[in-house]
Amino acid sequence: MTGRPLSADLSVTLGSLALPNPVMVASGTFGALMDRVLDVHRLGAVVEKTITMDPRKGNPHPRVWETPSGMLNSIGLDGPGLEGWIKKRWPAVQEYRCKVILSVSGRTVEEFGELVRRLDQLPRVDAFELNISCPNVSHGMDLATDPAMTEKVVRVSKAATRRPVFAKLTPNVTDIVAVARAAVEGGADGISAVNTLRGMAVDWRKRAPAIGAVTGGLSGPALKPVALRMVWEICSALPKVPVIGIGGISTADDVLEFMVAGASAVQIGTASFVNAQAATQIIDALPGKLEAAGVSRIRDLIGTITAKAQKPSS
Amino acid sequence: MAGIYNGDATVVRQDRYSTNCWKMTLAVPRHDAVEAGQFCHILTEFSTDPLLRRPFSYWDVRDGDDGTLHVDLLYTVVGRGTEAMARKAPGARMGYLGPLGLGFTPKPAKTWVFVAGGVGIVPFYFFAKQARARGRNPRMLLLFGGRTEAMLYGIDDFAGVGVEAQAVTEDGSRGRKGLVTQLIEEQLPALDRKDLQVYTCGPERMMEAVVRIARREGLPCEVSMEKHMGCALGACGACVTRVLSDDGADWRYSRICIEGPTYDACRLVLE
Ligand SMILES: Cc1cc2nc3c(=O)[nH]c(=O)nc-3n(C[C@H](O)[C@H](O)[C@H](O)COP(=O)(O)OP(=O)(O)OC[C@H]3O[C@@H](n4cnc5c(N)ncnc54)[C@H](O)[C@@H]3O)c2cc1C
Ligand SMILES: Cc1cc2nc3c(=O)[nH]c(=O)nc-3n(C[C@H](O)[C@H](O)[C@H](O)COP(=O)(O)O)c2cc1C
Ligand code: FES
Repeated sequence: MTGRPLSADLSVTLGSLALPNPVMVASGTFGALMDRVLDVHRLGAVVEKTITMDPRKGNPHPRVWETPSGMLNSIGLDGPGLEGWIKKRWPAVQEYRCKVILSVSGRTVEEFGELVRRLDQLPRVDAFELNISCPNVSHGMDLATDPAMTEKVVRVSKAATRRPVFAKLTPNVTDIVAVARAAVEGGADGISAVNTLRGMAVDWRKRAPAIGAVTGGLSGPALKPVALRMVWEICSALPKVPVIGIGGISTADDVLEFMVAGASAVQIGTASFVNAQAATQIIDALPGKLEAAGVSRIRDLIGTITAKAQKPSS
Repeated sequence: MAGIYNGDATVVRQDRYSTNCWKMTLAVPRHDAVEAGQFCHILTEFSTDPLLRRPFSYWDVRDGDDGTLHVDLLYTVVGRGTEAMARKAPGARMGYLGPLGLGFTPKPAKTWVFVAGGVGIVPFYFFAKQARARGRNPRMLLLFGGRTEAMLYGIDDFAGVGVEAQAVTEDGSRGRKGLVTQLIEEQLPALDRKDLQVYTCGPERMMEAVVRIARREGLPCEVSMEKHMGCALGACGACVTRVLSDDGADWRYSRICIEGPTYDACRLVLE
């Protein structure tokens, strides 16, 4: 950047969680060597790759496929499991000077609680995100397609920690507000919206699906309008609940669109594959955008959209 | 500049190498020294479609006379990303992330045999050049297979870095007609197997055949894998191949962008 330092106030709060800026990196799109390229300490928060109880191998190759302005992935929550994560990943994560949000996924309601309880013992975890919406492991039936299950998972997880708990929802539902409401009933401190949208790619010459697991989750700019609509619906229906907007965000303008639609913060996923420094470059671009619009505090934009969803789509 | 560089690269030159193959020189700020076998991740267009980066091996890396690093890529046009690259003229910019991954291990063996198919040839030119520059003097033998002569990319450059090249083509347009695996079988009896190191890169089925031969003959072999990638920094889990688990009892998926793309063939679990 050049010129005089820009002074817009980027700080936001998600309930009791205060962030210096609203930009986080999304679960499953950050880790390993990315912190060699990206200045993690400047982020609003890091959301770790979803942690499962046991190690998981994940799905066969090919696990990603580019689609128009997006990509499909069928990684399948591969990972070292709880113990492996604490041993291999935690030493690096605990050095991050930004907020740290741990994402967990259990095979059962109880396992969510157990994961949160065990990870809650780590000294500097700032919040949890419940991944109840991974389309790659649940054979099409995500917990977060069922409001009653969603409520249970959140309740059990909340009972296991005093730190904020966010429920990450799937867009693969007709009525996302019903699920968001259930999560809040269960005690969620906020909603992360959204995970990937189930999709498919076909290699017609081979008469075969393009990715190993046949279907996968769509992310990237192609997902953005759907994510934006869902964030707007949730925020209209539940104006007091902090929402983290996720889906196709790749520029500072995208961030501001989600915030005007009601999001208090955002996560960057696929854009980090396109440019590993996308998140910090977006943070750098925000003050200029705000100044040009005469906005001095980014939080003043949250939910300022002139249109409100009347009632959830059905 | 040390470290992994993430930023713009400027196209300095672009030449057609053969029918479907191009050589592109990029200028980038000086970064970590490149080990042959490493790769860079190229953003062919600043657009949302195509969206993701594409991985490419280094054909050559030199200091440019303008204080930058000059990186040569040799690539074939197979889809939209490589089509976009082929359209770039000098002065054009692309996104560059590199160097990435682990390079080949220069082994003490007296003879190095490079077994390559198609664009799998790319890492071997720099490997030979770098080894010679570092004073390593094994005999280097390249066994190179392609569909036709036009697909024996860069074969005539290898003499300049002290590599004896032998070719096979599927149509017999250059060298013997046949497959590169037949060429290995033919050459083996004349080589000192106790002091031999094999390196291979090319289409998956070719590499699997090479690994099988190496295992049968008890030859040490290093393989450079090719998989679809997302981040190329080990974060996303896209680029996996099966390797023996650390206790050897089971297999696990290994992310080739950080644990590879080069692997000791002993560790690979063929699918
Ligand atoms: C470590 C590494 C080094 C590589 N080095 C070179 C090189 O030096 N020169 C070169 O020409 N190519 C190289 N490749 C392959 C190159 O990355 C792909 O050809 C390129 O990404 C294709 O992009 P595209 O948009 O033109 O094709 P797309 O439209 O994306 O795909 C066209 C076809 O290529 C296949 N493909 C796409 N990406 C990959 C990939 N990453 N691995 C295997 N198959 C793929 C697709 O399945 C499809 O059949 C390398 C790949 C890896 C993983
Ligand atoms: C390769 C890949 C892996 C992902 N892994 C996870 C995961 O482990 N847990 C999770 O909650 N979301 C995961 N996601 C979803 C992202 O966090 C995010 O919700 C989604 O990609 C939409 O955002 P984007 O368009 O910015 O990528 C993954 C996405 C991708 C592309
Ligand atoms: S490409 Fe993302 S882990 Fe290798």
